[in-house]
Amino acid sequence: MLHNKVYPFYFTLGTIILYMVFFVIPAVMGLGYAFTDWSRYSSDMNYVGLENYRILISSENNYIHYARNTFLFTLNTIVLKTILGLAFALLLHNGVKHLRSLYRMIIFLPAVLPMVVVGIIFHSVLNPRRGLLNELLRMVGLGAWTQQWLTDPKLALLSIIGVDTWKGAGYIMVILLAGLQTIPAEYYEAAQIDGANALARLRHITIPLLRPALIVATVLNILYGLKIFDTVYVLTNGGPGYSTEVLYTAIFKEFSKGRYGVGTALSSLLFFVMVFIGYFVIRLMEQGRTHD
Amino acid sequence: MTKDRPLTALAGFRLGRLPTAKNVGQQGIYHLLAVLICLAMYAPVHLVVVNSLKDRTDARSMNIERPTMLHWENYSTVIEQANLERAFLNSILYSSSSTLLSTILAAMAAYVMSRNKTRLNRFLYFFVIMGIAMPVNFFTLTKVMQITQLINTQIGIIVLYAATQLPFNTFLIYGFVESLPRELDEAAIVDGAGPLRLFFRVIFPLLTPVLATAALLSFLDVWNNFIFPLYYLNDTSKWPMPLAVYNFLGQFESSWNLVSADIVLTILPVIAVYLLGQRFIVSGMTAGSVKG
Amino acid sequence: MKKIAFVLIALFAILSVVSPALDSGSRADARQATTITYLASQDWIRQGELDLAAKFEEETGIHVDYQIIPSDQYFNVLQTKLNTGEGPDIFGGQSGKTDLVVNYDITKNAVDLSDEEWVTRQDPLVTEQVTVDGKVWGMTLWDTSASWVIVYNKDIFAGLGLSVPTTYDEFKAVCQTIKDSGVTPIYEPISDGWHHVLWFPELGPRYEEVTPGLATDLNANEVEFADDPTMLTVLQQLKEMYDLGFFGEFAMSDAYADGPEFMANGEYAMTVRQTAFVNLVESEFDVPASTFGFFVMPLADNQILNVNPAGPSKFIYSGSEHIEEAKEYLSFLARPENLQYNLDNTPEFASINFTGVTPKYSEEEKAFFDAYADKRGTVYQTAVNYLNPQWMEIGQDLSAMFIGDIEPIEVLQHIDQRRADMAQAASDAGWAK
Repeated sequence: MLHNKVYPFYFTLGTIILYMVFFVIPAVMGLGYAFTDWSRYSSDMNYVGLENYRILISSENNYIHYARNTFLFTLNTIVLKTILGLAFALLLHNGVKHLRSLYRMIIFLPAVLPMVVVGIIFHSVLNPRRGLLNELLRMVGLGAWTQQWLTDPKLALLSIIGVDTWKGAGYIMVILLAGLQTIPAEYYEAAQIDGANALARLRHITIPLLRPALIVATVLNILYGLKIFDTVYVLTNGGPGYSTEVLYTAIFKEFSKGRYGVGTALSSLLFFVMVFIGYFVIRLMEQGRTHD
Repeated sequence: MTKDRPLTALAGFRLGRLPTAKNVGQQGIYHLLAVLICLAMYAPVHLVVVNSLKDRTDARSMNIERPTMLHWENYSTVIEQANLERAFLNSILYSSSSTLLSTILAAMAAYVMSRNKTRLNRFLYFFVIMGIAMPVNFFTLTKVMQITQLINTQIGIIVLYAATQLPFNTFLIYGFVESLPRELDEAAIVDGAGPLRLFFRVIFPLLTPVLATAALLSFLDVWNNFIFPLYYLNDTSKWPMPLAVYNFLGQFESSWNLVSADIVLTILPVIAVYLLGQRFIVSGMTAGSVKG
Repeated sequence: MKKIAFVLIALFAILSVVSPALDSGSRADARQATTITYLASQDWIRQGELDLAAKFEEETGIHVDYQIIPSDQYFNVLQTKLNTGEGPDIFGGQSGKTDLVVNYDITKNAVDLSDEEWVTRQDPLVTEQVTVDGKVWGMTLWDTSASWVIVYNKDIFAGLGLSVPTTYDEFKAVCQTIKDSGVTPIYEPISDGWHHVLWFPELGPRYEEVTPGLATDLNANEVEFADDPTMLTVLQQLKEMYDLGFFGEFAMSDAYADGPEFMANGEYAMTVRQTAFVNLVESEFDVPASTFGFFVMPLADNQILNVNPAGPSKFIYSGSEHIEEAKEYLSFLARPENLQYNLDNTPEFASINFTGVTPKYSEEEKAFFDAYADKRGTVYQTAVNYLNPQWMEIGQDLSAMFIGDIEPIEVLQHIDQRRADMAQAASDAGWAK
């Protein structure tokens, strides 16, 4: 066929090969190793059947709790980032008339900072004794609101969610801004003539027409949230105690304890969940894009 | 082309929709809001900048007060102690090479997958972008890095980074290729261009906006990653900047002025790249991910 | 717009062409001067040693590349590197027989150093802790004479008319009085993850005193941690101290590195440190070392001094390409004049584990150690197998206990569980099913 000559298959090979080697093969190998007692303490490896999976769901380990934290993190960051991202995007697109790109630039700024650096900075900002946040609260007379942001077990996960939202809201804003720019102005003009107020315009024009962008933003947020690792790792490393441990930090700890078998089992479990969820949400994202 | 439409639309939209835009009070509130948001985004960065210029005693409490004297020598100390030049060159090497590699490979793959929609190519496209969802399996990825002899080599880390960027880049660029008219291809073929010339001479230049976005996002993402080099690079002389911060913090944990200076030097290059390229982020997003 | 994009891409392209060139240039430099890499955990490498590394480079042209990893990640990183056969030339590790076998697989990963000259000058008790199968695998370079004890502010004690407590009840009363006076009793940095663990295994001599032969029985798997009432008592008392606020409001976020500051400014009355800590406070904050006194941790009414012949040690990686250079470096560090230099320039050390050095104990420290000359015992992380390798996990369990997520007895059960995992993986006969 002519098509195969003009658009030759070998163009895709580089991508496919790298993708196979660094994504697919490790994942498939993991499925196999999950049935063994692979550990750093001994050189021989034995088949142990479903033992590793049994360990994962047994109540002596906290994996259910870690899964719950991961879910809470994902849900909350989706809601917060989408609401804030949308509010920022509307403010910049429909609100202010000048200095738009300057504002956009600054709001996106946290997204480009290395997570290690964000971790170090927020360790300091959220320090209960003399961190910037508590100092500010004391300064404006809200001394009673000061908190042990990262070490109070009731608050630590919320603080992590807060920092992650701070870092990621600008990214979502940019996706939504891109979406807003595709909405033709005539729609608004027509609505205006019909006497629709701002809220009605938002509900009946902006949100429906922004749907593809909102879907992209949400899908990226879901996939990011379920795989969350570095924000937790640099802020609390799962603490205090186990209160902010998420699935990926738990996997990482199994790695450091040398229990590779259990670790790969957990990795593989997460892999199945992600592929399952990913299959549906990525299709959704693709469809949103092609049906303009 | 793609850029122009939203912009003109935007101009008409503003004139048509907002008769109250002349209302100075309302604009004032919008700007106040925007400034407050920007302050919240910038404050943590400000904190490190301020403290990087204090002496050790004043920096201990990491407050936002102005330094009594500007201690610029902190920077020279850090550059000497932290081996930052080396780390900077490494970061440039890893980020630019892997960005280049993954952007070109993804562009070639996305182009062929989009233009030649055979059943196989459709499957491969979906298969590759599933990578956005796939979690990294540290255990087996380590094995793969060993088997391929890529562990502890700079080329290994570059290829690994490039691979991690492929799924999202493919997704982004694919959307853009869809919007390019096929007549271009046909004209080139009539002129006798082969597939390589068609792609690199005709298509590639047209992809520039989305390539810039993909390249920028990949560059920033790779620059900020610290887990891969921590495990897969043996030698501090191969470490990139975020890891140098990590190393530095380990040695100077009670000298916050130096840690702050180190952080400032580490984030300066990313911020510079970001400022240079930030205008492409929105344009590429518009073209690549939200519009068909 | 397109032009800028083009420029940007061109920039990347140029950079990626140029930087490998830069890279190979400096690699050629590196070949001329040998570099040996040295992986160590934060807080293991002191200034004295870094100075010596610089002198070593001057003398031999060999550069020592210190890679300092934050303590909570150290084992993780080291393990990965050893497992993948890509270790550094020298790696740091806590000595102690089980650690060497279980954690580092030392006979496979390290080079036999038995024939090195300095071995004969190293304290034999310390050497024993780096010996496996009759061979010496590492060099310990540490103040192993230092014990983790309670350093207290004598002025605060005198001002409140308090004397040194010898039982837990007295200790509790002392803490309460201090707290009521507005001073926080104990500086306990939990955020580092390892320091608050000291309270538990460092009391090994007391567990042994109450139940003679306990360590042997634990190593033979005849009893478990969860069976021992003294250990449970210690954990319950620790929890009680946390609940009573003796560690202060901010213990969870306090950092080890800030300890000297808070002891110097009098905000806290006590902290668990090694005795040489007072010299550090003096050199950094001009508070005379004589302000502080020492007593042993009196949990479970302990009155025995905890000693630990194990400490951070240096091992040469068997897969290293620079074994000779690494040996040369260790010999250099062990030269008598360099040992003395190291000791004199490291405020945290009062002595070092080699013969021929002049220790710098103060009168206070001498009197303290003399008082316990006959009442000493070995800490449990060294006396009991499979305990030290899980130090950080115990730390996480203890934090969970403090915030009320798990009970003291569960901390002990988790320790038993992890010991069983390690022992079975190491095919320990005591754990054979």
